[in-house]
Amino acid sequence: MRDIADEWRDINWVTGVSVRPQEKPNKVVINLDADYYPREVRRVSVEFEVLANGNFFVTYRERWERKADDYRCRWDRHPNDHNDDDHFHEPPECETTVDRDDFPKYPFQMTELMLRFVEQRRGTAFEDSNLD
Amino acid sequence: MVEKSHGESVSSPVEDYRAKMENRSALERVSMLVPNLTEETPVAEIADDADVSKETARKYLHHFENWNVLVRTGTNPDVFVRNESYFDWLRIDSLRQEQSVDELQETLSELAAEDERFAEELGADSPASASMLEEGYENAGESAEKVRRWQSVRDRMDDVVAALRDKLDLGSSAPGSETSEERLRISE
Repeated sequence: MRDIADEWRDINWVTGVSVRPQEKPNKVVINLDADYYPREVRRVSVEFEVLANGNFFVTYRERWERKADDYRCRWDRHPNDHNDDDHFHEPPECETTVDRDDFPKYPFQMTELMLRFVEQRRGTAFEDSNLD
Repeated sequence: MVEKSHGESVSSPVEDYRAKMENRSALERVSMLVPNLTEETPVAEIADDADVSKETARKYLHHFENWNVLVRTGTNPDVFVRNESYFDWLRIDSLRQEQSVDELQETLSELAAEDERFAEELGADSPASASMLEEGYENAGESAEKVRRWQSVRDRMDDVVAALRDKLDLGSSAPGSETSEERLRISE
């Protein structure tokens, strides 16, 4: 967990990293700078949960001015009946899942994949915002 | 300076991260992998994953072995796996250092409440006896995920209890009835 926290510290856009915060004792919570997002986005965060056996859950979350616009998705690795171990819960509500085979071997290596996603998503967030 | 509200002129976190990665020393690269060696892994594979030479990897891995962080389970080729009892101790010790007795007690009651919620929701006494099919086949995946999360709440409770024992000087006898191996099996 600490290694994951260290990965994210000092990266551009990251405003805070907390390991096992009181309200989420199983997680590392990383806050991103919402100033880089459309005005309506109030809070952006990435949460890591890693289990002892190497399974993990990584959630990306945007809180928008209107709750209906909230956006989240999740990368999971755990044994599963409906699809592969590695899968992705699609935005905006994590309702559907797709199998993925491009996950890295170790949880801390998810950082680069996440950051690439964040950059892309930021572009779409501006498009979403312009639709209103 | 960086213009925040406009699209193109923002410095990229991905590039930032890559630069940070490239500046990493060989020791850092190997150290990052060490806690992830939950399975027996040959030195060549570790060297490959850490992007260092085999000789360098072997040198640092032996240091970690000397400090009981890793166990060597094979030679020629050398095979390493993390020492679970060291990591058990590490988790408990960090709790002990980070939280006061009051805070530990508070953490414990929060976890106990969460534990109770899982028990109720899954209609079972323990994660091991919870049925994955309680909510039908379509929801089996989701139930399994809940069971795993429940198990991780239980594991965390064991750690907190052990840290409390240490702090209250009750001696550090085994916190739970399950060995870490059993725990791992349940959570798989």
